[in-house]
Amino acid sequence: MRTKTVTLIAVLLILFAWIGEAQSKKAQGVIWLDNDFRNIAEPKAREGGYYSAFFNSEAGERWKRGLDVPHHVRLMVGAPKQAANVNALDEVPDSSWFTNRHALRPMTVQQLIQGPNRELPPDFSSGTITKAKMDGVTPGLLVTDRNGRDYIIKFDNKDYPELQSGAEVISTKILFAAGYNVPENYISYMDPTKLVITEGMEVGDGKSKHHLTRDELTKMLHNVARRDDGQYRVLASRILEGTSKGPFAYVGLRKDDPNDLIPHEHRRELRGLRVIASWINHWDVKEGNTLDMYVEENGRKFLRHHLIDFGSSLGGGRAPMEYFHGREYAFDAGTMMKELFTLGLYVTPDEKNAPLVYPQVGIFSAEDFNPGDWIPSFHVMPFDNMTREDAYWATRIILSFTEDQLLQIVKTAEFTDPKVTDYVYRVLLERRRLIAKHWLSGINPIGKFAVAATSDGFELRFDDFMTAEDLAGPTEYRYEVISLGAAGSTTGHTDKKITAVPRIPLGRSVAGETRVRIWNTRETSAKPVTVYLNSRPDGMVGLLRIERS
Amino acid sequence: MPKHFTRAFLTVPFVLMVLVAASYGQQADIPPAALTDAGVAVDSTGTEPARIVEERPDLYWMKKNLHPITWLEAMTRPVAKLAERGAGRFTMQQTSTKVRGVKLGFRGTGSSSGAGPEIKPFDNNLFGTGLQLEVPLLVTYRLYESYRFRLNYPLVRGENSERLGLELAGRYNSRPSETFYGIGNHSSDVYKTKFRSVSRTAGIALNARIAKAWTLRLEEGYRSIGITSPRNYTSTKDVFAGTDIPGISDAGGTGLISTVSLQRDTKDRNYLASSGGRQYVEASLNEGLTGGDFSYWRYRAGLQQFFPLSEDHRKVIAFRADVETNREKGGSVIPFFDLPIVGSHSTVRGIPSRRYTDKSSMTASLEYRYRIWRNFDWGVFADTGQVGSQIGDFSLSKSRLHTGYGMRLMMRAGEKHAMSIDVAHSREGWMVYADFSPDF
Repeated sequence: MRTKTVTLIAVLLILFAWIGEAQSKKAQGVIWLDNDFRNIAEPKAREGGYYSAFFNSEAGERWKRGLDVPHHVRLMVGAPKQAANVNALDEVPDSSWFTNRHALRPMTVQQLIQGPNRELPPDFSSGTITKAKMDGVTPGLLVTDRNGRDYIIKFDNKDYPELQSGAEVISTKILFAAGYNVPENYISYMDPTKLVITEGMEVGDGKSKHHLTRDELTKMLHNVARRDDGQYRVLASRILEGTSKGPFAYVGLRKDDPNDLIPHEHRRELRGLRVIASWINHWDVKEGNTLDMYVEENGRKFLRHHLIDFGSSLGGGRAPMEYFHGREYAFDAGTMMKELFTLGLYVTPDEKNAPLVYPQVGIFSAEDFNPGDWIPSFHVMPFDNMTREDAYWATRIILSFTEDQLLQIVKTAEFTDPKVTDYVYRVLLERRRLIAKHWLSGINPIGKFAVAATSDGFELRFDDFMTAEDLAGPTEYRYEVISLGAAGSTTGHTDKKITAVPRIPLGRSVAGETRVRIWNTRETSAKPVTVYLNSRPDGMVGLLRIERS
Repeated sequence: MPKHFTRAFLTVPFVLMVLVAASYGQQADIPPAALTDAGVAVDSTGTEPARIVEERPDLYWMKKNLHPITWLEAMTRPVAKLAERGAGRFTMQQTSTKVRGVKLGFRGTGSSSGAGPEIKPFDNNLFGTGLQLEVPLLVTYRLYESYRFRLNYPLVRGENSERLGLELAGRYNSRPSETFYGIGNHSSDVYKTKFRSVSRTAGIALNARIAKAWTLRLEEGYRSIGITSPRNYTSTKDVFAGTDIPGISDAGGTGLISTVSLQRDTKDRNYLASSGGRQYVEASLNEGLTGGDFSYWRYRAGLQQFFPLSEDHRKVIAFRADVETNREKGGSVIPFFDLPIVGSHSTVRGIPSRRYTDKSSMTASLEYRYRIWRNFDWGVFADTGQVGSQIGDFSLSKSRLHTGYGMRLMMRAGEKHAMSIDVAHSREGWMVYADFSPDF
């Protein structure tokens, strides 16, 4: 009997391990567009409650992860499961989730400033209030502007003007340039008392439902920030195009979306978001702050996946954020255990505080920022799955902004005090430096491969991001160049050479497929980066494949 | 010269070409994205370009759906949805300023009663007269019943609160299974018996807030109590028949109770306070009308004190002590069911319910509490207590003190809701308590 039980358990474990390791067959070649824009039938809206997401992320998925034996074995042997949607060059192709922007297709300053915003900015010189949320700490309005466009209007807290709106605009611009789908978010100025209230519009809930009155609106405005000129500075977030289908899940696949082939926990853009979110301190990256929209583009109907609501980023929120955000989970079993067994002597981030430098900034600094320890307030499985390769990918994205470009982005927050702009800009720069130092250490931080034709023949050039960012001095690179025969047989030279500059000579011609393996002598324990090249019909040499793990 | 010129003529464009090529390389292989007006990628090829993967991972659904935790999750989903709705209502209740309505709760009614749902209709302005009425109705899972009404009329109002109020109150209380081990500080657990009590009380009281934290209460009440045998357990009346324990041979009785009490309350909140304290003294005269000759004086005093160890009140030392003594009036007696006890959540935790009883009792608790999460505190405690015929019998001798110790989890939800779960141990075993309105 006991033997039977043990056998059954063993068989089940092996079955789960086998199923867990099942991977989709990857497409060959360099894919730059993952065509998930195919026509699909309209999916049902997915429900996404706070508690459902909380139980799911804090309990369900974490427990499953705890019981995932293959995952633990992979971690032990240093071979975590890599992202499933990277192409042969270790990049994320464009899709309905992500568009390669500034890192691979450099944007102009004007494009960075514009971000996702299109056409005309909102015009609230006249307009109509179509919905209102009067209760709670965050009153909000839904307003149709003079041009007939719908916007969600969010006000800043009376005691912390510019805090929430500033954070939301800066984060929107950064996330858009990074490649994510985000709403159009504008800083706008308005006087809501001049707007027309839709006749018969109700506010409240259940029995307390009633028609919104002008007095009520005025009363609500007493609690929000107002400028000296009587205008209200607001964050106007344009309603996304299409039909809302609820938030996307951070784990699994959407059953009713045939375009959805990659488990979300293995999407690199979601894994790497951890690094980008840590940079802008977007701790409130919970499932509820994502949104799938059923859109029609080019005659096709499909789901486009968005990140929304970045008001709780940088140091902001309705009020300056509490110190623990970004440092411990909202429900952190580990911290609880530490507290429990030390009789409360362990000092948690929840007990700490940081000075409020400016009310417009909240609690945002680089002084006690540790990129490796940064966590959102709720567990996000793709973040837990992030590998060094994903982190490297995301770090490269945030390094793609020049200092001036970053400053111009911060300026879009329209802080009235230039010192605030300068402070946010400097903190972002310093946090970025810390991120780069952390995530580029321990790996071979080379990238931006390019083949150049010189008078001496072709050479493979690359950047060392640690050197380029002044995080480390120049180093030497050990490399080997091997020509691969038809069946993968090696025919070229295999002896390892050293170069002090990030350039590797390939010779006057590259016949067939060539493998270049590069080690970094600064990080001796780091794996080499392997670049596969081939000769192209035009006589040039192209990149075939890049392997980092 | 022309040769050199030709070489230079050919070299410069070549170098320029190299520089251009060098600035591209990998980037040059990236086709420009087809973008919508919104600047997001879209397929504009008209053909069907490849996917990065051909299909969903094999057996992915099987892995998800066969996982036992997926089933658990599916089971908790309705709870999460309820929580979603409940949280909204809870928030509304926290901030509710409703004049009348029905409040729902979950609580117990004293030692070993278990817990159950409480329905409390209330009206804070009855007939527009300023009368405040509440009718809490409670039945626990152990079938303890408590039905009360309380009618309060504010006679004098202060700036923020009532200064003087007149109160009418009534209560029906059925306790089907109260334990009794005999009288004395060393009563044997061999004589564990049970009795059932049903009491009805009615009273009138005057509450006076004589200073910010001080309250004086004068109360006159009538009580009728019946003592019977429990179902399916050894009856107190049977086991202790023939002893001289007052009240054993009686079926209860009626009487008048006059009480005066003075209280000072500086606690920062009603439940699980973290600073301040509560001190009280009380004296009452119980005059039997029918049944046995039950007439006696009762004197009680007690204190709770909370010492925050840090500014944020995350660590708190809590202390409580209570003392009670009952003195016969003339040649009358004190019925056993009215004697103070040691052995309950509010006396000595870890000691079985109502384990020791006599005319006098004293108990003390010391607790160290500390925050383990936003609304969760953990505590370690030690309780001690003893009973005796009179206060002079008390001593700090180890043989007299009944001691329990343990730990507790405390949860707070807003200012008005709290709960604690205590696990306590004494030489008489382990006890677990759940308190849905922990005032200490």
